Amino acid sequence: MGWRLSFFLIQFLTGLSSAAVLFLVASGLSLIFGVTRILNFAHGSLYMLGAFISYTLVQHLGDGVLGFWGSLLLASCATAAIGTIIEILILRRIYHVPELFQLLATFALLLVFQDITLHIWGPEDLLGPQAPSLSGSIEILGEAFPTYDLFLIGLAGVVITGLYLLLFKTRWGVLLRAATEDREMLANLGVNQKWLFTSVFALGSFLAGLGGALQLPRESVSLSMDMNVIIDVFVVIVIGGLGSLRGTVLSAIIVGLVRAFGILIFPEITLVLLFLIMAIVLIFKPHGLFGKAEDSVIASSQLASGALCPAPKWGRTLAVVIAAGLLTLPLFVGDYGLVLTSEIMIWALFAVSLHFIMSPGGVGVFGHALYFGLGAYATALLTKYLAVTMPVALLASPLAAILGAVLFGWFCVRSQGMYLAMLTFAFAQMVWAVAFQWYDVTGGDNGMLGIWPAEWASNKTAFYYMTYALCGAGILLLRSFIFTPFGYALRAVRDQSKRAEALGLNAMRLQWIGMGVAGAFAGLAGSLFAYSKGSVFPTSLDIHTTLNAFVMVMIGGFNTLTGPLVGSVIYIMLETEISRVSEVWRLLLGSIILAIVIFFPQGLVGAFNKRFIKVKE
Amino acid sequence: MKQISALLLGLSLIALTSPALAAPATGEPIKIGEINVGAKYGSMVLGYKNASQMAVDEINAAGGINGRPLQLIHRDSNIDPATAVKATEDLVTREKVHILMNCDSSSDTLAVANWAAQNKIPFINACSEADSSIWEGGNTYTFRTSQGGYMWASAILNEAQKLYGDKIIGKKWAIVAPSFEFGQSVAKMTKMLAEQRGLKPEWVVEQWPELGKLEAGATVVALKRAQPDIIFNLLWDADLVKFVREGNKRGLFKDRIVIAPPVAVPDHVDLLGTEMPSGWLSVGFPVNEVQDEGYLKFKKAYEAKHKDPIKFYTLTGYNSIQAIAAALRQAGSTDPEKIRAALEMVSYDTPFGKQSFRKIDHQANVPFWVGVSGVKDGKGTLLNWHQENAADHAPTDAWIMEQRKTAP
Repeated sequence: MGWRLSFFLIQFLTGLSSAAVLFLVASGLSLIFGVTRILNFAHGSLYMLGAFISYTLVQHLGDGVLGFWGSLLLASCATAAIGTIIEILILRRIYHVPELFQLLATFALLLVFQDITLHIWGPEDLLGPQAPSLSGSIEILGEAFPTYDLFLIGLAGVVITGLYLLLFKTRWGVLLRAATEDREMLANLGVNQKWLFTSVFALGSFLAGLGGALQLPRESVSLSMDMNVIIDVFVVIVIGGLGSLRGTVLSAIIVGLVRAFGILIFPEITLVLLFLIMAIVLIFKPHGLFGKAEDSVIASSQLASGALCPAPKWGRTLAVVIAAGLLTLPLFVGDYGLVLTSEIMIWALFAVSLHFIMSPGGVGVFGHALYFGLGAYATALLTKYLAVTMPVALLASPLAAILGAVLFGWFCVRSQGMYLAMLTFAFAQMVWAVAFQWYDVTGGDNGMLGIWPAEWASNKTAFYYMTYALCGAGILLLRSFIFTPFGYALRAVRDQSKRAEALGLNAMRLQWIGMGVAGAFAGLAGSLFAYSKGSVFPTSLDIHTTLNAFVMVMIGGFNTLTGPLVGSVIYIMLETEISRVSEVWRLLLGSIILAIVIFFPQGLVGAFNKRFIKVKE
Repeated sequence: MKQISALLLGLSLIALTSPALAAPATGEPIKIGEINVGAKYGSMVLGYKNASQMAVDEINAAGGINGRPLQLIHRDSNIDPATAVKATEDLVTREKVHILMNCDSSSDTLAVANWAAQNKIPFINACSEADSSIWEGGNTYTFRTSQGGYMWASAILNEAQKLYGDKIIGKKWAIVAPSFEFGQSVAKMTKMLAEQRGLKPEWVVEQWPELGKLEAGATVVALKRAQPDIIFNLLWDADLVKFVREGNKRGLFKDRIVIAPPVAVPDHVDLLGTEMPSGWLSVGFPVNEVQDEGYLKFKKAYEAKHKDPIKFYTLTGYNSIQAIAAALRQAGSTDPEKIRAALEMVSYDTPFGKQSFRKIDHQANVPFWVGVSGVKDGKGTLLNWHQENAADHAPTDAWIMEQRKTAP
């Protein structure tokens, strides 16, 4: 099968048509990010809603020319309206919170919309009609190519031109670009930003809805559309440079073409390829192809700042009481209680390691699952291929995670803010993709089974005590690091990086080591997790694992030391209970996360401290 | 927050009380832990859930198992094996269920089977066609009431030889299948059988898209470029729809034989409508054409109770409960070892007559239907179908033993 020109051209056009859809959705997200600095997960929901609404409208308006295109247009407008409502009701309340909190809040919105959509439209995939008079194909060098795909490419061209004119030839565009450049200055000039933000959000939502509605002739409308599109779109706008229109155009084309030719040439590694490109771009162009350095404060340092003090006397006493109580737990509860508590302790260790790197460490990572997963997979691979014993695997897993942290961390500490978050995300997704697609070694999404603990630790009580000892030691060690010179230096770098550098502290190296430390303990947690479930799956590396830990830390509070512990207890209990009793657990979980971001951004422990305990300044 | 907790409380009350209302309370219930894909992906398993509850209700109305009612306790996996394992753990350690069953992805099923064996709880796989769940990943605690890749491949290849004769020998084959276990396993069986039957296949291209994320256009071009004569297609749901539409527009299916086992299952019949491709070799379930007496009785009862039509996994839900009930009667106890041993021995009633589990690998001798896809009276359907039975499409015992040797 040689490289006939026709196939090359057809695949090129195929890539362009998928780039066209990516661009439509990504451009909306990028515009929104440009002015509001919010990376909006719920953009995927708007895309999905566009598809569902247009499906319903087509059922009523018919699939004639007027009915079909009318439905698509109306659906996009409806999506714009929904986006506007979201902005006014929710996002306006969180413009002041740290960027990663905003990211989380919009993820919560995505969860909420999943359940709302499920309850309106039901779980079945829905198949809409083909586009009138665009359902066929035309011959290009003897190969058939769908006319609808050509139409999409043309439409993207029209939208690019329209956006360009809007941004550069209208007063609104001038204001929007000014807001992207410098929000504060624009506010000082007396421009009403509120409505500027809302209008940008409406436009971005319109484009998301349009992108979704345009899928009607190509695929069935399903509840997975939101997550499927949003990760791709993140990749596109990060590669292009957040907030840059031409960057989005170029990177949509790159991603579309890489996908298309990847499938043709390397079908085995298509997933890895995408994130690899994202990582490479961010390594060489730390702000994406056309992005600008963020002059605002680094996201991570907004998460937490100021002093931390060792626990007061009563706090220590309480800790000892709880630790002793946990020691006697097997006397009082059955297997289920032990399994649940073991799980909480493992997640607590993972959450504490995340807290360590983000809060005292000051590095705003968004891919901490990478180290958890590395630990878990190291355990599984060593057990399966080298038949190592459990103690060896428990020791080797943190080392594997450290290796990962040394490699990936080196690049990460050279980046900042949202780009750092996205770089860590890209690395985690890359390793996830390897685990997912390397079927022969990792079992793909079957994962690796039969990773059971050694005989002596296989009953639930023994395993509980082992988890107790290892997680307890890990948590105490991480905590004590914060009050060593290394911990103080990390915080100095976080709070006053220039001053710290002047004192001779090497910021990058400190944060790099910090990532290694946090990674090691995350790896240990991953290894324990593997043994507790007897299996390892690619999900241990994916975005949900990262988000779980993130939510735990956030529930407790970033600027506290006990926060991650309290958060993991609450989160695991909540998750276990909600998913057991409720069909609408996504809605509930999402609402709870939103409520915390809006009402308790300092977390429950943070709020408690503020109310009842005087923190020494 | 108050409203949320009130809602939570309300929901938990409903969840706690509703099963109790359904069962005539005679004695301590025998609990069946059930894991399925969950509401978000629920269209496939809705029939299965309804029918299994219907079987439980019927059994309880008739006095239960030695006076004890059956109780189904459901959990969601969200098509995530880690969640499936957690749910299983929760069912066994917290709810103290006596037996497990599931209707879930193949990866989840393998993970649950592994967990069940380690913890010595009998487990019935009602929906996963990946044969790894009875062979490479099989174990003494896992039983299967679903159909499987090997039987599909075997019957469909027979059908292909019948339709095309020697014209399918020495041809170029393409594979397009989802990357997860179902795709891997069924494709593997088909490859093996095509060789064994002397078809001398040449595998020219393979595409393994991530489930639900097929790049249809680019994949169709990649397949077309390899110029296969036969396309073996295992795509489901949204992926299948995209593939059919793009393939038609780009002329992929013209003058090619397509073997697509899942294309004509009832769920896809409803989804694809008149866009159901014509002449693809498929398995399926002609719900309105099958005329077995027991089935018609079942159908009448089911349709009186539920307004949704019978789907691909409806029967397997009903049958699995029948198998469990029969085993519990035989065992006369809820001891997991005794239930396991009883499952190996019993034969149980189903709408298609008696069924039982094969000793060597615990596969039930289920019926299935083979034909070609097509459109009739403005609706997609399975045409020229006939019934087959799992027992007639099994590898040799020696081969099965060899596979199960590597089981964890």
